[in-house]
Amino acid sequence: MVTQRISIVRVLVGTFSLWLLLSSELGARKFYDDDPLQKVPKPLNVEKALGRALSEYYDFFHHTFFTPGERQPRTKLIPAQEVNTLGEVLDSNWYTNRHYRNPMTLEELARGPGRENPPASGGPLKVISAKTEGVTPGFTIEDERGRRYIVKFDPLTNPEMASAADVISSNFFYALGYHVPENYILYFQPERLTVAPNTTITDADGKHRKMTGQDIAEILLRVPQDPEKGYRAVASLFISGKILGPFRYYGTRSDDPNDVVPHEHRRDLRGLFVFSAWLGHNDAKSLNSLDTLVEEDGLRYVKHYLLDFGATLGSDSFIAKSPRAGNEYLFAWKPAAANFFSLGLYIPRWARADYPHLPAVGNFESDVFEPEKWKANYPNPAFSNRLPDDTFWAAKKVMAFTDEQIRAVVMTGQYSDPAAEKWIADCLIARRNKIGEAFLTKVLPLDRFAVREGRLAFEDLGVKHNLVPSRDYTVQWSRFNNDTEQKAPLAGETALALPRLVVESGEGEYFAAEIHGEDPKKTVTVYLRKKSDRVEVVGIDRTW
Amino acid sequence: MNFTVTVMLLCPLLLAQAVNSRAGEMEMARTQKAQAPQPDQPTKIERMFFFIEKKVSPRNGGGEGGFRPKVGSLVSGSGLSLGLEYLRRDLAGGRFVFRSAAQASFRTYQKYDLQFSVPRFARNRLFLDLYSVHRNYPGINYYGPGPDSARGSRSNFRLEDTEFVGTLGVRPVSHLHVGATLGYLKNNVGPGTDSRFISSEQVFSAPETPGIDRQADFFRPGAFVQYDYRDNPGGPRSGGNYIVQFTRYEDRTLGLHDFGRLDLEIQQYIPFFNRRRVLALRGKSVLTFPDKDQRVPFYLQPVLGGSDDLRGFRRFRFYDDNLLVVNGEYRWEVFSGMDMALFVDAGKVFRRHAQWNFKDVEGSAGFGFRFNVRNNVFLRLDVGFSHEGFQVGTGFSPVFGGGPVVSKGTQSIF
Repeated sequence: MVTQRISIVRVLVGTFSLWLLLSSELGARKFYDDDPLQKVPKPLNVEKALGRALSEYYDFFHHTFFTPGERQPRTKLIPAQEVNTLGEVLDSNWYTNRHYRNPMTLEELARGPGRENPPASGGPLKVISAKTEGVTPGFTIEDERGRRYIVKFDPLTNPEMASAADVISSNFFYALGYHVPENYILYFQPERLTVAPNTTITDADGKHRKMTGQDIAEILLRVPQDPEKGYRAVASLFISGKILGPFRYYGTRSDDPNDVVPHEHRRDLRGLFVFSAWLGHNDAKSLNSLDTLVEEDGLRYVKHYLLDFGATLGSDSFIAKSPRAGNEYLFAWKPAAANFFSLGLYIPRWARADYPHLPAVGNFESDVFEPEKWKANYPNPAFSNRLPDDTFWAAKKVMAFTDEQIRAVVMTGQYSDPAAEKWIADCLIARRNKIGEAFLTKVLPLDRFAVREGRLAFEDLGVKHNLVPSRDYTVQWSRFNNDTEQKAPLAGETALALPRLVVESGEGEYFAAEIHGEDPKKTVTVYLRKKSDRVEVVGIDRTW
Repeated sequence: MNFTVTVMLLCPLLLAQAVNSRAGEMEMARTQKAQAPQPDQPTKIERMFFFIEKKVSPRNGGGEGGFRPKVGSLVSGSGLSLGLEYLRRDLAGGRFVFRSAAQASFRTYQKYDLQFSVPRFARNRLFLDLYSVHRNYPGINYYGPGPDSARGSRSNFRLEDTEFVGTLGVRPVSHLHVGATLGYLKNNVGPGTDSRFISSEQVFSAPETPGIDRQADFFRPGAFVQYDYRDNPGGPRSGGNYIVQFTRYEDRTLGLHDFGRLDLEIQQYIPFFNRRRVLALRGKSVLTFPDKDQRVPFYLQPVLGGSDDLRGFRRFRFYDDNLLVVNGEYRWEVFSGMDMALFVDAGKVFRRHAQWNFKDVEGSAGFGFRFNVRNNVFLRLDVGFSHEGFQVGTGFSPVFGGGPVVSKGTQSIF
């Protein structure tokens, strides 16, 4: 009886799946009426999501010696997902379009994820937990208003280095669209620190025990002190919601119904490669991310954060960044073999990089930096899957920062040495330019398409950023069948002005304009649709 | 049943209508996933890694506080040892450290030690260390006295000793350590148990090998100065470490072996190519100053040979009253967790201070591997070549070590 029931269930499920597939195929079309979407639909309620830790060693070995997630096949590349038909990432619990879509003011850029919740400037800072294990010592504190922060310090050898990097990079990542914690530079005198009753400390042996004032003194011995301002730290406001642990850069969370796109195919994570390269975030790994279960309007959903930017720019949190960082994986067969067999006579270019003698900077530079060859500490599936349209998407956002805006954000690091601030800003400007040269030229960098005054208008980012001189474009208009995706060229229509047939078309008709510059392989096909008596841009396809 | 089938078959058609939009398409994918949510749990392999990370990670010194396993080597030639260590760093709110360990190797070498220390007090200026150890090493090599001892004259002896030592030190300025030590050392030498070689007392007599017949106990006061500005003592790539230490050995039982011992050591690390290449240099000399009509017992003589100094020679290859050795290493990073090294060593033991020169030195050369976690060397493998053949040596710390000899309560290089 049981066997028979199982068989029936199997048949029903099989039939259901087949129908689902067929109906989906039957209903397939390139554009829907609601394209291009700007944000994902309201999430489904998450009934239950459990916290999940991640082993640092496992993560390293798994990514270094195996290839988790779905990788790009040799043919028929897998395009990025959770993007709209214009190639833009949708606003979601992962990402929010900010600076590129609506340019932020200098104040907004400096404000970053928020400036309303800094630690109280006076009163006691109650230490409610601490750790001495790991690479950097730190506290969790509660200020007199009851707000909680994770407090991390700079290494003795490099005052201001890690704390500045943490604040600057979190502000950049926020402007670039990610969810990040509010980070504040905090100066305090040691007298303000008090140990809350029953506070425990995780000591150097990983053991939990009751914390004492001596523990605070021990930790403070290992961090730099400004004679006037006291101890400097970065205070990271507790992220709201239930902590679920880090997200992975492949697959999906099995307990989150809203997480349906494999992370290695998310454009916001593929494009993170470019942002990480720019900001020297070679520690872009799962452990520096966080999922939280938040509740808004009675709906519970998982929100995804990037965090812990103390190892960005020239910092590696507890020491200056290794010159290897960003240039080689921690382990890779090829360079290891080259070093092994050459007896060290093979000198990689990055080993010759010049770094400033600025302790607050650490090791950060722009001369040797090669955006396309940049590497995280170990392979990241989303980074490995990046395609030229992913890096174009990210590069245009990096290029949207003006020199002035970059300097404004760097100022939030509160360097006491103007030379350090200048060095970081100059490097970021130079690295931004290299990113533009590297990734905006991989495709025909046309963007911000619109129909204006009867013409197809756009921005050529290559020209705008002086990567190429002004250029001519070849245009071929077609009628586009949205169901079969067939194009029927419109003879003689090769200008950017909308053809008469397009202007006079009926509601719901589609057209395509294929544009290329001097390189015929790099094309942009812009799709237009007549809707409510207007011709609107509904989609973009790129080839390279 | 018929009703269920009908609903199931109609469902896709209804859904097809529902997904007539991009948003609907997304919602359908979510709805499908919501049908069978699975808890997001680590795999068995990942759980195993968790265990390693939390319990036996090299980063936190081998595991958690309290009882923990201790794996390593006791002395060059002892073979792999296993043991148990009890460690507390949380006493008096973290002011005191207590440690005790018992270790035994597969070659029956044994070591038991107990340590109590106050790493920082008096506003971080002073440090105190009290240490006692009992060792029973049944097969230490001995080839006879002097630089001309024959390779074929290898014998072995048992060294049993118990030591109590206290160190009080001050850090007057950054990088500088000045300290005084006071110790008491009880020694016993017996027949070696390595059946492959003859026992030392059967081939060497007291006149040529002082102390082989009777052993003494020593009162041992001393002082040291160390200036250490290495960037990272666990795996130095730049900076230097300079040590001067004088120890007085006063024979409390036989009255035959009163002497002074001066340890001098200079380590210099010269980085280039952004510290991915390092020239590591060391010069080390040990000079003894026996009182009139006194002799340095062979079991306290400076020793040369093995993976810490003259790497192309067997461990404990040369014994004499004085020692001079220089080492040069060219290291290069192969990948972030491993450096390779090419090295040359030259050194000698000698009887008279007038022989403090580089005449008649023994030389060796070779290559090695240094494995590290977060820039701290946890395993070292050296292959050294000399006119006596080649030797493979292992170690669990950087090759040149790092501190004054007696500040950690250890005797000579044992």
